[in-house]
Amino acid sequence: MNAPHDLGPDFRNWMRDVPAMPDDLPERALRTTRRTRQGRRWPWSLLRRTPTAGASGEQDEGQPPAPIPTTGGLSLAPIGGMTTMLSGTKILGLAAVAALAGALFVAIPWSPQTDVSAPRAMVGEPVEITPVTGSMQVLAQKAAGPCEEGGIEEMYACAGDVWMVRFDFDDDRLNGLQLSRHNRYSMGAMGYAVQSLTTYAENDGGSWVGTGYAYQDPETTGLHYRTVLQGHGGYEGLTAIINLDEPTFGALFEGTGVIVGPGLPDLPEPAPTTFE
Amino acid sequence: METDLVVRARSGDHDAFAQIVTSVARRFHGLAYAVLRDRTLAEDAAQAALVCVWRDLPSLRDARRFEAWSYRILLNACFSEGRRARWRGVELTRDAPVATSAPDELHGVLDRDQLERGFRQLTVQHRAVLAMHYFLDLPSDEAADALEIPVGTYKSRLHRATEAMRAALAADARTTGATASLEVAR
Repeated sequence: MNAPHDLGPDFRNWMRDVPAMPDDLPERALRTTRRTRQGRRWPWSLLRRTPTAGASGEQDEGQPPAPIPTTGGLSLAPIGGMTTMLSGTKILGLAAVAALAGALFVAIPWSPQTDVSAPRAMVGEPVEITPVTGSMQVLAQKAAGPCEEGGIEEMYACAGDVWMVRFDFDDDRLNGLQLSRHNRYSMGAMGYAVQSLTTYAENDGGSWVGTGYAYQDPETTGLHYRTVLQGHGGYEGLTAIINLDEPTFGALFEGTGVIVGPGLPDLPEPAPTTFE
Repeated sequence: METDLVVRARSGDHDAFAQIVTSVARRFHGLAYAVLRDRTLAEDAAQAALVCVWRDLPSLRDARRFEAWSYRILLNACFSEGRRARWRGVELTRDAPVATSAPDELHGVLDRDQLERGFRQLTVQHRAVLAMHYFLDLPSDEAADALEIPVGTYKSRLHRATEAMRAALAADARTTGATASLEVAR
C-alpha cells in the first residue's frame, strides 16, 4: 500500500528511466578541474568567480583560475585577468542602474502639493482596507516562442509568456487560479530581469483583472512580483494591491497585500516639476 | 563514498577526486536529467556541479557528509541551468520521453507521455523534491539535509509537489481529452 503522498510505482519507474550518461562527461569535468584551483575558506567569497563548463567543453578554454589566496584573507584581482565576479559588463550595468536611480532620486520634488484637491474617496463613503497574507504557486509556464537576442551578452526580449498560477491567501476573495501574460527583458549574464504582465482571475465570488510588474533579484535569483487587481462582478469596486516575493528561483512566492474598497483615491495632477 | 577518498581530494589529491567522479558522475547525470528533463541541460548541470565539488571541497568540514553536500551542489547547478533556460525563453521540454518500453505497450507509452507533460509543468523546485524522493529514494532527513531545509519543510514541500503533479496530470487529461489511465495512489 502506498503512502498518502505516493505517486505510485509507475511514476517511480518513469523517473528512474533516464538516458545513458555520455561516456566522456567525467573526463570533460576532470579536464576542467585539472585547471581549476581549489578554493579556500575566506570571507571574501564574492570575489570568487563561479566556474562554468558547457556540456561540449567549449567553455573550458575561457575558464579562469580561481583567485589566489593571500595572507590576510585578501585575494588578487588583477584588472583584465577577470578573477572577480565583477566583469566589465556587470560594472557598466551596475553603473547604469546606479545613475538612473540617482537621477530619479534627485528629480523627486520635495515641496508639499498645495494645489491638489482632496481625493474623492476621502470625502465619500468610508474605505475598508483588508490586509491579506498568502502565497502564489506557479503551476505552469508556457513560452510564446523564441526570444529575440539583445545587444548585451545573454540579453533576451520575450513576449507573450503565459503563466498559470494559484493564489492561496487568507482572504477567499483572492483565492483560485490566475492566468497571466508576461513580456520580459532578461539579462542573463547580469542576473537582471524585468517583466510587465496582465492577469486575470476568477472564482465563485467574482473576477479580478490587473496589471503588474516583476523583477528578478540577481542575488537570490527569485522574482519580486507586484500587481494591482481591479475587481469585477461580485468584487466590483474593490482593488487588490499584492506584493509577492520568490525567495529563490522556483520557490513558492510569498507575501502580503491589501484589498481596498470601494475604491482608491483619484490620481492627483502630475507632480510639480519645480521646487517651490 | 569512501571517506578516505573525500579527505584526500579535499586536500588537493586530483587522482582521488577522479575516483570520486567515476563513482558519482552517472548518479549526478541521472539526477540532473530527472530534474531538468533535458539532456543538454542535464549534462551542463552535472559537469558544472562536478567542477564546483572540486573547487569547494576544502569547505566541506565533515567528509562523511559528502553525499548530501554534493547533491546540494548538483541541485543548485540544476536550478542555475533551469534559470538560464528561463532567461533564454527555452522551455524545459525539448526532449522526447525516453522510450525504453516495448513499442506495443501503448498503454504504458501513453502514461509516460502524460507523466512527461505533467512533470514539465512543475517548477524546478518541485521537480527537485520529487527527484530526491523517487529517483534517489533518499530518506526524508537526508533529502532535507541535501536541500538545506528542515525535515518538516521537506515533507510539506514533497506534499505540495505531489499535489502539483496530480493537478498537472488532471489538467493534462482535461486538455488532451485523453483518458487518464494512470492510477495515482492517494
